Amino acid sequence: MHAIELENVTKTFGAHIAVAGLSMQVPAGSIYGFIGPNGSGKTTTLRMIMHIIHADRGRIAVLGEQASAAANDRVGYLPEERGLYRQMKVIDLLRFFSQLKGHTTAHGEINRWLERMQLSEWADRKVEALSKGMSQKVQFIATVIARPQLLLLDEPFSGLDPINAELVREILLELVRAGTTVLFSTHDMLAAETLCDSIMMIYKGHKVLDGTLRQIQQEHGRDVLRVRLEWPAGSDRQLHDLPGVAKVTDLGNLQEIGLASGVDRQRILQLLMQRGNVEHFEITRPSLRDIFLQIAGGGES
Amino acid sequence: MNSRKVRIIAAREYFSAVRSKSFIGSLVLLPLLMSGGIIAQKVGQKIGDTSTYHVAVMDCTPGESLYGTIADAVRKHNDRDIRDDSGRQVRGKFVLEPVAPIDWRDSAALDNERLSLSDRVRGGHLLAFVEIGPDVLSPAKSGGGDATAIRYSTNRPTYQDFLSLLQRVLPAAVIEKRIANSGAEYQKLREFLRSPSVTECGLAESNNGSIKYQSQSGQIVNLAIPIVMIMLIFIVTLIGTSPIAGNVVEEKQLRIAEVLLGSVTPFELMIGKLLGGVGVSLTLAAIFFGGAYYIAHSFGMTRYVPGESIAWFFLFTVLGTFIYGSMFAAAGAACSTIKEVQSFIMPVMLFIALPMFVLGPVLQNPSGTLAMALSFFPLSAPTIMVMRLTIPPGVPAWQPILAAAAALAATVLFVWAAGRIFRVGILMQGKGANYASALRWIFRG
Repeated sequence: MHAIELENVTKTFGAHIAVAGLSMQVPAGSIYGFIGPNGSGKTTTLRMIMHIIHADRGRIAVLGEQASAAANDRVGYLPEERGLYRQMKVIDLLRFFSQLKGHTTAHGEINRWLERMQLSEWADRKVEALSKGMSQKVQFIATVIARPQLLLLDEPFSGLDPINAELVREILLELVRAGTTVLFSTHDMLAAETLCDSIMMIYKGHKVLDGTLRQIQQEHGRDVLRVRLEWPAGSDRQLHDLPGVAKVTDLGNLQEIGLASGVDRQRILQLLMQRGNVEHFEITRPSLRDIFLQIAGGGES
Repeated sequence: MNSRKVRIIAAREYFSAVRSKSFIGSLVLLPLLMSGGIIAQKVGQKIGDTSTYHVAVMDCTPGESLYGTIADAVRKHNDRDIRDDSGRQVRGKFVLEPVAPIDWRDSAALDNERLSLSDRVRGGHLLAFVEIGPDVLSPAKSGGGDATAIRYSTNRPTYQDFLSLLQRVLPAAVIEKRIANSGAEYQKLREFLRSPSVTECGLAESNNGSIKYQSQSGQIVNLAIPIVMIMLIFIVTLIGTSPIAGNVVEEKQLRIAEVLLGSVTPFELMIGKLLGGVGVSLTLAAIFFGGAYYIAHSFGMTRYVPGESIAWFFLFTVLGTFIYGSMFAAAGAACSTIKEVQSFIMPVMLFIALPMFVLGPVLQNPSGTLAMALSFFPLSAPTIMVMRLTIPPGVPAWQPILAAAAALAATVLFVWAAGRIFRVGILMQGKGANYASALRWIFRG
């Protein structure tokens, strides 16, 4: 069962193709990460899933419903560009958004959420009195308070300090354990790596990555070594000339060596030992950030 | 369309509007503004005018025969007219300064005298100076010109009290003296010269067998009620609808719009806003109309407001709110700032305000072509038809029905078109749309 299914979806704005023939399936009960550079079509895709804008072509099914906006009451949506009525009290605002989703939220439930997000004492204050971070948390509560089956979150961690980002992360995991499906877009590659069951990357309207982190790493990554050498005096400290090395990045204390495919890592270790005293030798998978930069920076399509 | 969501949006819009300071302010300020003229007049009278005004009078008639008439009138004014019932001075006092008559044929001397008096007026020593030409009493002999005129010169033309006094007493005194000079017997002639009065009277009406006449005050009420009705419907519909544009722009600026569109469709959002506006308009209408009706009832004047016109008033308030509100909603969605909205909506506002500019002609001829045309033109139908309904003798029953049908059809059209603009515009940021873009959104989406 898929919570979201997109089949060959295309959206254009004038001459600009925002999304081109995009297909994706988000499994029910999973956390699905949606990455891509600015202007790549992430927000447009989320808006189409919410039926805020309509696709020019293709099929979109949300929670099994294809009719326009039919499933919206079961979907919580946190857009990237988000704001709140400044003159409303926090508690009235949360009740308003809950009612819009057809959910009659009890006073106690709202208070529990406010307590969880450390906002209890702000319940009867107007939104204009809140700091930006507090507003972000109220917006998050407004998105989840109607207990949606599917959560679409556009940059949910932006504007949150590390403590609150961790809190939101915990809540998302709890919601997923309770059966909610979460699709979120992010520029935070670490969050995508650690939180998501599956990740999709969209670039210039086209899907360029889709799968689990391991699948993506296997498909797009090459082996990476992280090494630290104690160089002998007078050495030129160069590693580029080692056979099979595609790229060397100086990380300061460490050197990161990208290997061409099929290169024997033990042979590289032997060569390094000839150059100096090897203090650190680590075989790693490429990070999502590296793959992202490789695609977005190199213009791969 | 999900009516539950529309109701929730409408309720939020309504309560946020009626709890706002501007709404509460309008409840207090509007009646004050509407009765502002009367209050200002009363306050003006209360404060009063304790000044003393000096006026120079040069009477060049033979024997300075008219100076005494003016002096008598001024004495009476100072003794009787400048104080209120408590004896406090509330109007300006006049002091006459006689100026020796000069030879009217010596134009240089006349000019010099006028210059000297003008300088005294400019210096604030005189309110004005009055010259009575030497031939005022025998105009036929001289053949007209300055010599037969009475000149009043001042640099304060808005202060009319002394001029009024002259206009009241001098013409009659001049005629009396002309007749007396001709040898006729003025007392006899005066009987013939007395003008008959033309009085406004009410119609006769049968009341339990006896015939009664409408009072003259009823005629004035008949004139006042249509004006009050058109002002009321104009104000309540505008107060109910004009904030919609600002609210939509605010929702765009504060990025609330997309959060809402995660739960409701753009059309549901707009209809909710319109219904909230209708609620505000009806609340205001009920309060103001109820207040006005209570006052009318206290003075026994409710019979001048036909029962059916009250029902039409509320119906046209609803239709007007939908028509104007949909335009404001569309303008808000098409623009990005309040300033842009003001420019965008200006031509429409002219149409909405049109009835206020043609009050006179419509009152004068409520069944004329202009009144009829405006009654069926959707943007003016709500206001003009409500006004015509209360102008005696009223309008045939088919007319408000047809006007309401036209306004209803226009409402559907406007709401549809506004919905199309709203759907595209609500997520637009940056520079606002122009009319061409708005039209494109309506027809092409």
